[in-house]
Amino acid sequence: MSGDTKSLFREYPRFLWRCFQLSFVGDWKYYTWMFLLSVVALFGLNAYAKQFVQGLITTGLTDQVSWGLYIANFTYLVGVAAAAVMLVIPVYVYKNKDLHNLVIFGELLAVVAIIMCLLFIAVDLGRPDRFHHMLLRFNFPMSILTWDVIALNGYLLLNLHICGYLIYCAYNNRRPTRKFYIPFVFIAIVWAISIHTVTAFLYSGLGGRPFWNTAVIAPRFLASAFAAGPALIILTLQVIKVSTGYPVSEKAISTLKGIVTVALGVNMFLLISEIFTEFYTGTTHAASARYLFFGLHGYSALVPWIWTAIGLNSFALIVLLTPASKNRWVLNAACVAMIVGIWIEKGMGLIVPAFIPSPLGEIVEYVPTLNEILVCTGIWAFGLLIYTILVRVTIPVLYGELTVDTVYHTDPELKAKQKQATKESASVSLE
Amino acid sequence: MAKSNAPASKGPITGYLVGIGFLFLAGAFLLGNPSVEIPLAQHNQVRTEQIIPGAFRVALEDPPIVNIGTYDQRCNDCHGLFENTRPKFRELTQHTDIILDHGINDGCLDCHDKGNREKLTLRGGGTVGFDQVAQLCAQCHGPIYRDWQKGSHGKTIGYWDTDLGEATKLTCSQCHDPHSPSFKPMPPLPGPKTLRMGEHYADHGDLVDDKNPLQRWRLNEHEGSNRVEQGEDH
Amino acid sequence: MQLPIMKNTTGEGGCGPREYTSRPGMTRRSFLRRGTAATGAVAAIAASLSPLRELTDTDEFTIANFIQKHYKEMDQHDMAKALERISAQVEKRYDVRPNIRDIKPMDGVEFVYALNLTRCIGCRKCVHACVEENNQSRSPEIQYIRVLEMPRGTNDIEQGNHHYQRATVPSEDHYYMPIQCHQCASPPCVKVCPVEATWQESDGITVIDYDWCIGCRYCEAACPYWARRFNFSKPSIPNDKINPNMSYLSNRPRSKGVMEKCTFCLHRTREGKMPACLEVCPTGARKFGNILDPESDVRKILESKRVFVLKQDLGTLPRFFYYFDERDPINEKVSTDTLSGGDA
Repeated sequence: MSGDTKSLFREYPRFLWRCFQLSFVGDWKYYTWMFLLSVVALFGLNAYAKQFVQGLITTGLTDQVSWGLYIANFTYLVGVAAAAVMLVIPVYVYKNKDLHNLVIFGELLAVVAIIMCLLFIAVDLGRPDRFHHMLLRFNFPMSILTWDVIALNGYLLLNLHICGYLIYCAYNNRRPTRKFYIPFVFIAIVWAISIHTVTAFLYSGLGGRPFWNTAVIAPRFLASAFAAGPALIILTLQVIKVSTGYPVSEKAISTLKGIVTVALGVNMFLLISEIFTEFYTGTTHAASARYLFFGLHGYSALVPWIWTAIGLNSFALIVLLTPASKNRWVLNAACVAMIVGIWIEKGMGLIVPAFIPSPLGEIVEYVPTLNEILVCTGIWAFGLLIYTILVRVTIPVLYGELTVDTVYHTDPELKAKQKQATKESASVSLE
Repeated sequence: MAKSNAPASKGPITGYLVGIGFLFLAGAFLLGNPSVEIPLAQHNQVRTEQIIPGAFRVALEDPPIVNIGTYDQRCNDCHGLFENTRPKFRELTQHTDIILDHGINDGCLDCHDKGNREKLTLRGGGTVGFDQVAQLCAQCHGPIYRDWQKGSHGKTIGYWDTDLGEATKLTCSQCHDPHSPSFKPMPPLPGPKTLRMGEHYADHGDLVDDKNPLQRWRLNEHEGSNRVEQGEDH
Repeated sequence: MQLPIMKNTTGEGGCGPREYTSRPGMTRRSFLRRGTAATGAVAAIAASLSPLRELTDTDEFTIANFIQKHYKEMDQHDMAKALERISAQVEKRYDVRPNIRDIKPMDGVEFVYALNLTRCIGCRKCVHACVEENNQSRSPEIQYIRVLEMPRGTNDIEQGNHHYQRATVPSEDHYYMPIQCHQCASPPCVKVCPVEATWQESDGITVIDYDWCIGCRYCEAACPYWARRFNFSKPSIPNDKINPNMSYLSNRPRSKGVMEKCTFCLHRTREGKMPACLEVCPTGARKFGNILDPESDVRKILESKRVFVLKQDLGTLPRFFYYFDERDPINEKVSTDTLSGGDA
């Protein structure tokens, strides 16, 4: 058996090299998409280079509002990463058959989302060249940020292992050994919940920020993550189906739709709970909430944002609860509305208002600069780039087109012949 | 990179287009501005003489030397020649720079000794030198004097650790002008102009809570209403 | 098309000898195509990083900086080297030879600050004296102390005005409350720092190792008194305003991307002197000293005055106490009826 194992190890670099080559194979649509993403990503890199030279003064951040768009996107993406668990639980715990062959895409999305999170943190640091200080003096367990570091990196490694193992097994036409991935899957379920809980605790543990210092932050995070994440997955799966023909069943989409509906409902309920507690009680602690929803002392930059977000989320929830959502395009519209609405709510509606007014009552509003926005879009583009490559590589492996003993054909006739020959293992079981 | 043995497909051109596209992008980066414009506010220039530490004013010593004209005189040089018979404050012909605004005090001799101008007078009889002015002030300002002794009123500069250096507790006249002791209002130094602060209202009058009973007295004053005039019992 | 990677000559999956085949289809045309695309991509990446050419000030990115240990792990030799390096940097940048040292806390000392709100007139001299003493950046502006103009009758900080600019102070309707780092005994900033770049020393001062901070700004989010400041860009200090009397943990010039805050002027106070804000206050509203010394001003104030702290409900246990005197000199209308009966 060891000879077998050794050959698997030897095969791995070749596998990676083939994947790398495969990521450059595609039609003009693929190339256009990748080119555009690369352009946006490079603009982001350029903007970050400027920020590295000049410091964080290139952003719109101030001492009063010291966390902004970067941390907002980080928070949102941790939610998206955690939402992969919403695919894993139905398949591995409840043995759902429809989502069975789609879990891998959720886990790949989790990998990409975590990478984007880490990038957002890296660009937010004042001295990224001192990152190694985290390894030398680690304020664990007092600082929740250290918990977050462990949680995020651990989750990344977990998902990289799970995805990598399953894909590599498929590549080698081997049945995956249960003990090498099932325990990790179950750990990942718990871990996914914990990454977003820990991120929520980052905020809710600060007594000096009464807008955050509530118990409802962690449940809201999870609820909105489990709404936005699967919504993103619904859209992504449809894109995958259209561009690669990979089978995505209607039942799979409707299962996800059910998850999204419940999560969004819980999110809206928690929002109402928060609004009531802040405004009915009417303490001075509600100043940040007043700023966010109604404006404070003449400053009201975020008011249109939050009401738009609430409008979008309400629209999405109502649509999902009615039979209208059976229509695929209506469902897609609801998903887009929800994704945008929750992004605004978690970003502009959660991070920024906690800093306004400052702990001393000063109001300085936050407007992200162009440079900051370019870095953010650059990271998003980079993430999409990685995800596209991962999907580009995974599907041929799952179809049996890219395996250890075959040659990858781009010519459609040769590809069809190959498929015929390996029809019985066309959709590799990921069991 | 797409390679194809099949003739004449769209694929081959894509590689060139991508390459040329990237080269244009590279050019755009190199020709673009390598740094971001930062709107920095003009920072407040504060001159060092506006923030001089230490005592606020120079106090007279014992015996006090006063400069009149261009001569340094001792008080009794003049005051020893005449006897003062006037009990109340009058128009001064010398010491015209002195403005007496010290509460209910209306005469020089409330504090200065009638017999010896180089000393200060104590109510119960006796005198103290100018360097012990606190003893004089304490006669009327008892609670302040107790606070000053404790260190809660007044200023102590220098060293807090007297093993390492001297702590100088300033005496009353090193902060207060004895003839007009209340602190005169002074112009404040410039306020904060931090990054991207924006314009800020100079007056937060709109923030005064008009329902708050604790602040109603301020609003009534501003509105000019006088409850006494409206016939209420006092 | 065939990817020109190993064609398996055994024809089955699993192990077997593999051979590299020659690369079919690698024509000159495809080489040019590939080459153009690859060159373009590499050029675009390199060009996007071109703003880094503006990075002229590489003082901070040396090996010595990189391997420097955390303050608590440095021995005498490491500290001497660090001080030498900092000295050279300051001299190079500001043309001033600094007297920089590492001053340890004194035994049996715990600092406390008290502020008499009846006496503060809001002149802001403390703010600017602090800026000069601690070598704070003028542009962008950093000021550790923020003076609030509060309307009489309320302690609601939200009603405080930070930006008052009257002709003269004090205003009759207001009192003035300067706020700086309270060096809390249960500091939330220390709790949240992921790399332990900030900690509280035995004399109560919460300090920052500027060479260890990674600039995540979590402490700035955690502080309930808005006491911490971040260097969004390289601080700019006029050469003639540099205070050369420096210490490692307090007022040596900082780099961009790190946090800073009030340190109770530890380069002065740990040598027994009063802090700069106290020295310059014209009305003597500020009080400072060692709370463990029964004869100190602050001890007597805490024993006899009704002191309070800000945001006490947050449990931060600040070391900064505010108090009022019993009488209010400004709003007191003293009757000017003269003493009757002539002079005594």
